[in-house]
Amino acid sequence: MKTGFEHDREGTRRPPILRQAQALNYILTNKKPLIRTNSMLAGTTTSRDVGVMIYPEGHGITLWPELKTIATRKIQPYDIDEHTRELLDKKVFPFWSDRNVREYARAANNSPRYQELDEKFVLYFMWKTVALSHTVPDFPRILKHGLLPVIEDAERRKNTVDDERQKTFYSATEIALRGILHYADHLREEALRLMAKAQKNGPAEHYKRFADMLERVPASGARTLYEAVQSLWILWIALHNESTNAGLSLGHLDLWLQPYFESDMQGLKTDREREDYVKQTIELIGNFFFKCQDHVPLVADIGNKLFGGSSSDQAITLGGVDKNGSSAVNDMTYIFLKVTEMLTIRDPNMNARYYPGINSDDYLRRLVEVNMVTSATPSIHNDKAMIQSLKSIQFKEEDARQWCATGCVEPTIPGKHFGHTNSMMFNMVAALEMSLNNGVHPLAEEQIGIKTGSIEEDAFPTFEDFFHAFERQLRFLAYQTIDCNNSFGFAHQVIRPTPTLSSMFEGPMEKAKDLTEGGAVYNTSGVACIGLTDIVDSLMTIKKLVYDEKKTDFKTLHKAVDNNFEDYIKLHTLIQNKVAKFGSDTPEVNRLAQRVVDTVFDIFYNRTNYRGGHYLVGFWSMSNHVAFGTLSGALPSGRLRYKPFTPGLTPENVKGVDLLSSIRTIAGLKPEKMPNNIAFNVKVAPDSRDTHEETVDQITAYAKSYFELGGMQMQFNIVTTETLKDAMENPDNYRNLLVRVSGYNAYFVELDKDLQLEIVNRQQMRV
Amino acid sequence: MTTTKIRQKLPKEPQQGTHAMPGAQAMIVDLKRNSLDDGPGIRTLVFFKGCPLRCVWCHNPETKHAYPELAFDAKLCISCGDCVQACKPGAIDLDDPKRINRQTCTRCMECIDVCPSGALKRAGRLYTTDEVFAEIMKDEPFYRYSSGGVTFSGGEPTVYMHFLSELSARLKAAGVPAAIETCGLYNHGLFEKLLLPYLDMILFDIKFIDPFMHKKYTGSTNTVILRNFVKLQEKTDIPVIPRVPLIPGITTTEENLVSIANFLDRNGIKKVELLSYNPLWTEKSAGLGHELDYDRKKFMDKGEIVMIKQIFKDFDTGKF
Repeated sequence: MKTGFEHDREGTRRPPILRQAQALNYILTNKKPLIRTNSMLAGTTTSRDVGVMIYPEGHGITLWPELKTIATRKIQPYDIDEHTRELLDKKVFPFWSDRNVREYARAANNSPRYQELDEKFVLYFMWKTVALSHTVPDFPRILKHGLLPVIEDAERRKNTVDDERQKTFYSATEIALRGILHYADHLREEALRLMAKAQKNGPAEHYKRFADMLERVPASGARTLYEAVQSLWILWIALHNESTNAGLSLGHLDLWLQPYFESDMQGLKTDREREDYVKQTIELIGNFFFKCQDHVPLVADIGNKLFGGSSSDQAITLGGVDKNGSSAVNDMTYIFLKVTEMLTIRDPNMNARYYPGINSDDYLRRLVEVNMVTSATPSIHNDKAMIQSLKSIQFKEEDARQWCATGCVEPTIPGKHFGHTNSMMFNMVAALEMSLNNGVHPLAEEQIGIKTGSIEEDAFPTFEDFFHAFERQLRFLAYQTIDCNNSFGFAHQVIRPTPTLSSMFEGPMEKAKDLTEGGAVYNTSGVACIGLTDIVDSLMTIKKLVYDEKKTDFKTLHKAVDNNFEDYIKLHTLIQNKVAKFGSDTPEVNRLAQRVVDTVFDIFYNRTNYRGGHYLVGFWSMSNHVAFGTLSGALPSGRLRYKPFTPGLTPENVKGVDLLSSIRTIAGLKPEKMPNNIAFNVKVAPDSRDTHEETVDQITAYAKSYFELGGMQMQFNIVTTETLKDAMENPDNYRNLLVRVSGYNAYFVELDKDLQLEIVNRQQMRV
Repeated sequence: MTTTKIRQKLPKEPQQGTHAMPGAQAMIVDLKRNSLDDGPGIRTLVFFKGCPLRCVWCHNPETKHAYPELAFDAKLCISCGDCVQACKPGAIDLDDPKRINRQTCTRCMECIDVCPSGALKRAGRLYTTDEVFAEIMKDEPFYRYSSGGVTFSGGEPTVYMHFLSELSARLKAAGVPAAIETCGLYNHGLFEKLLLPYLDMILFDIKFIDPFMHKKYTGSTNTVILRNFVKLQEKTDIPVIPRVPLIPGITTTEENLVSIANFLDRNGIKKVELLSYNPLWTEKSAGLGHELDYDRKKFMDKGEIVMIKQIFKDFDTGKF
């Protein structure tokens, strides 16, 4: 591992972006070119067939204390040889121990309080300690024209500007991209070497094809679908060698690849040829899916709780409309769906856009059918609601129409929008707990929040007074996360600029400004707000029982919550049965839910991030609803201590909440206040007496109604509770059982037990 | 206390078809949404309260009487005793497994308000057509996209003929299909005039062919019922689907099922719904303080099902 990029030969300190470009160029130039005999795509993300990416400047270092146990841990073990272990332990991690985002930010800001709070794990999780790659590059441009025009453009611009900083930016772009070309070249040489060794007519042809393709892409534009996919794959490898494999997403691939498919088709004469071509295309895309799994994210043990079983969530988006508003569903859409159905794998994370009235019923029905076959994918989005939401926060309509899912569900405008859509996972429930305890977090047993009044001292004469206290704690906590995120963002500018990614965006080249500096057209940050259901149910209990009906007083309720409802069975029963819950489609509860959503939207939207953009809230949780739940006390909602919160934006599995009322409740929330999207989980168990067709029709009817009512997103688990229980007992029989957690897919048997139980306990809707 | 005395306290049972006039209210137990079993697609079921029959196996015992009842669910009770305090006549006793002394209870329902667990519940209240219509329309897109709609059930919906007429006419105008589940004991003239134009499907119970058996187990003979069924075949093109409740030892005798099959065959009917016995009703009945005349706790066994299938082998029996 070289360490010499911080200074140049004369010993002068390199600007960060140049250092990063040199390092990337070095890695790609010296990367072992691997072509597997049985793969249709050349190149690998790591130096192995399948590997774990280690980013010591990101969160790689979290593995340091676990190096000895990582190969034998129960969930997601990694093989590691002694040499690598030694290298990491003695050389790599010591060198990077203060050169990573977290430690740089700590030193630069004098160990700030917000970072101290971050490390309590109770309040928020900051993704910038890992990555800020939750975005989608402008792949269509690079696939069409190749990297050479970008390099030429950088050279030309370098020669026309005087500013030293700007010159540096363009040099960095060129150096980084040349690294990619070196790597492609080495792959071509490897193909030629293998070709010489291989038998004629068989494998030799296979390698010759690689050699021919690599002579052209990614340097120049692709002419065929095969070249386009090979080109995409090399760009993907390069981006993953620059920045962490966490949520970087592939974009609207059906729409983007369709022109190549059509042009290939035009050259074919007979039906037989066309049929064969379609089969080859399915195989090619299948190969691409498998390739996307050749790297897994580095997850320290705590991560198995926080985002259990998550892959690197390389989202692919299908369908919806194009930038002119016409249906984007095409041949490639159905090819991607076929591959999704055949493989049933967790990554790429498949997301389908459905525009009611523009996309066909058959398309929606097919999406449901693929969900039935795979039991959990793709997640389905309401294009109309999402576009309307983005438009309302000043995205241009033409841009909004191009949105792509990023990581889990969040929208990015590809090649224009650097939105770190999962910059943080925000535990809203902690704010509620602090408002109940005058700023003290009950499990952390510490004055974390501000003093907003004590229940014991009758500080809240009306419900409005209490809501105000909650709002203040929420704002306090949000501002901590915002400060924390901004400090990590500034650290990225120094530690991890992104010359490669920047070259694939509109903005950075024109402004000579890296994405981390705000070079993109849109510069938002995305927030995942966790625990809306728990909050609304808790506030509703307080409002109803304490203030409206006076069935109890606040002190008693508070005591009951503190005692985890032990010795308060009657009160607990009353809460469970006589307070209308979120998801029951009760007007008063709906209004309260909308009020909480509006409140948290405003708090975040009105703050600016380190790139000058807004903070956008969404309501989904990965698996943090379980992790945060295990670190939280009992709640006025009746939820007991340490129990998981509800996942994403999904009502609790309780009395008075059924599938239709849940659907109406969630669909009734305003999309414009949830621009970072939502995850609405629906677990359905088909009736064994129904035929496949009947079940698909039935679920399609639910989905269609939900979207017509305005719902933004819906994700299914089509599996019975019995199957899940059996899988917990006999995991070996269910290695491939796919489930959707909150926004992403995972293999059920690889999940932490708490998370498995959360999914088992989700309400099962019989259809 | 004698039965006569209890009877005196109860409100008068409605006379079918005559008491409810336009704009009137109907006694309804529950609106159950997202039902997938009673008619096609996604449906809302409206359970009307009140029935002219007294089937000993009645699966919906809370819908027999047309007045509000107090229902008690022992499984939910946490024995907090708040209801004892709230009960003015002193009809509730925590040590009594039935909990409520039905002779003393005046059905003032005050205990329901204090019950924290929902173990004490009110079965039935009056609804206006406006209320029911609004509730049904909340789920309108679901009906549209699943070819579903509303099913009037009970109890016997035709007890509220005018109410039903007004409601179903409004639903028809709103494009929501309506089905009815009926025991068949109604005035055909009124039915044809007030209801039939607005219905899309009729699910018609056929329990016995022998009038004496019918009288013995349902409290009424079946002369009118079978005549109504035959008339419907002549008067309408909408599906009229016969449904046979399978009550082991009562309706499932070979003799009865064969005569039902023959009756349907004579009338040129090829499709029948066979409703499997579900023993869960017995708990509901006990919770209302009703005496049980029939009590079978288990579901039907394989042997019974095979025999039944054999008898109806020439019919389309759907998912049975």
